[in-house]
Amino acid sequence: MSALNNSLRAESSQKSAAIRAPTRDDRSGAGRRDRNFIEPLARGLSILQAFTPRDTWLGNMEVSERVHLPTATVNRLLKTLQRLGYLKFSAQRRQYKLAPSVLGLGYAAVANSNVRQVLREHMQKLADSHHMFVTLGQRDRLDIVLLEICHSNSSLLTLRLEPGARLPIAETAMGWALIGALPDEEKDYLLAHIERRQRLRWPAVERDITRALAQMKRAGYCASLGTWHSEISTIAIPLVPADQSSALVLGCSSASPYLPTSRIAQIGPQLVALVQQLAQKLPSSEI
Amino acid sequence: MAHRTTSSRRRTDRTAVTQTLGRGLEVLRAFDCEAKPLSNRGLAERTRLPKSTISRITSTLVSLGYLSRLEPVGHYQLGTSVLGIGNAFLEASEIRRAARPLMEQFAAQHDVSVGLAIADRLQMMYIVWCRSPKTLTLRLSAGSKLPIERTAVGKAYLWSLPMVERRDLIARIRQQAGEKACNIMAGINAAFSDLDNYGYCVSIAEFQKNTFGIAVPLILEDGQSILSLNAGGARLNVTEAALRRSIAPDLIEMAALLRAAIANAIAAEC
Repeated sequence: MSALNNSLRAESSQKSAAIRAPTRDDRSGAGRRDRNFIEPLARGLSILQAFTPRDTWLGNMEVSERVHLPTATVNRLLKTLQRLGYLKFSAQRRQYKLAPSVLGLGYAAVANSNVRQVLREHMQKLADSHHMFVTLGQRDRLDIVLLEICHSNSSLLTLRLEPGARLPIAETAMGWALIGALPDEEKDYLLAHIERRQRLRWPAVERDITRALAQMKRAGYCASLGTWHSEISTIAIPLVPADQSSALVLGCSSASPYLPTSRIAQIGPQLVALVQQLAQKLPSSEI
Repeated sequence: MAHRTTSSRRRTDRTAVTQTLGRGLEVLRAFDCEAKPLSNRGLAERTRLPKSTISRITSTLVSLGYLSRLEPVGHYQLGTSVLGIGNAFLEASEIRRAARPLMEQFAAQHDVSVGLAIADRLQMMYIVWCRSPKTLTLRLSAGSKLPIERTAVGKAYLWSLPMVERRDLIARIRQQAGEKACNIMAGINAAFSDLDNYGYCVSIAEFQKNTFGIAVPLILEDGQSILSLNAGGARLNVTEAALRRSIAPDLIEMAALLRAAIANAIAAEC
């Protein structure tokens, strides 16, 4: 419960930062919900998050558009982050990029924990034996963040996805499986949130989610046939650690022709059994 | 007069923001390479910041999704948001793109792990890490940090620093080492003499039992960026002589190739 509240709160606090940004003065404090909330830290992190594998170099204006803050504020924070060693500035380009120091912000700790190593081994076996690519994800607000990706050694397809990639929770089997694993109260709350976000697309999205949740209830897994990507089918199973905290989700994908409904019905139950075994072994606090 | 007041106030603001943001990020850094949950007190010890400051930072980081709070003990663990930032850097890094193919080939050929590291305060941090498909590996990845003074990769870096910086860093290492300073200095001096004579250094079972590392410095063409290239592994029956004979010459050769490949990639980028 608290995780859900936290991430929803995170979203609203980011939004409030964006809304009150035009006041120019960082110290106004209007709209601040929590007096402990450190605005410069939130803003600095949102600026670091603006850089993606696709957007290597960003200038002041581009960052400002992405984080919804005025250019003057962004400019100050970019210089601060440069001074702290987290960004590099190219005078030639007049743009910034991430410096290696950002790797020191806990990347290895998350990418490399014990549990993750254990999971990785099992996922790799699964990928190899079923010729699929297997992904492990966790929810972050309205996205699934991929933590691990294992390609099969005889892979029929590979996706250019790396750990840290985000998939929309409302439109992927991995997302539906995670929604299905939530207690009812949280589920309703999250769905209401998704509905507000999706607006006009909601009827179609709702139809998919309803079907997936029914499948989850019946079989313990849900599947998508080409929803997320027109040529890929995915079976997703929630992985809830024994202590019930921070649910993960496992996705097993293949090119659609290799994963027809009949094959899904055949391996789905096997995957559910495997994931249940794994869940018993996982101390969630280490993930 | 009025002008001066404004500009000095602006300066004060800037210093305050730098400090606030810097401290907040310091808390994320404190989680190091283990995913072990930490309490506010533990974080205060590691960062040397007051506990009241820490609790404001952790509460902010929790509400942003960078940390999660584990009940009932109230320890914190890193959330997955940190992966996004690190991954964006790794994917975009031209050094990594240029170096990876050569390093992977080397790792497979010599059955070792190969890492390219930069200094991060008193530690070396790998920005590229490749392992051989066969090796018993150390549990490392890009972003992993190791102590400068007890690893080959760190000592090769230390050696290639300009004299003044080298002396400063050694002074800080000695200070941190306390009573172990003598031992550590002996290790550093032995490595320096290897580096002077042969251009590489070796560390066996120093940082971790049953592991070895062999490293060469890699100074980029700008003359300022100093990296360190390491080949290592966990092996029970390897002799130092074998390492020196079979791996060292190839590692030195690879460092030269990497230097050229990285220089090209950086030139293409700018």
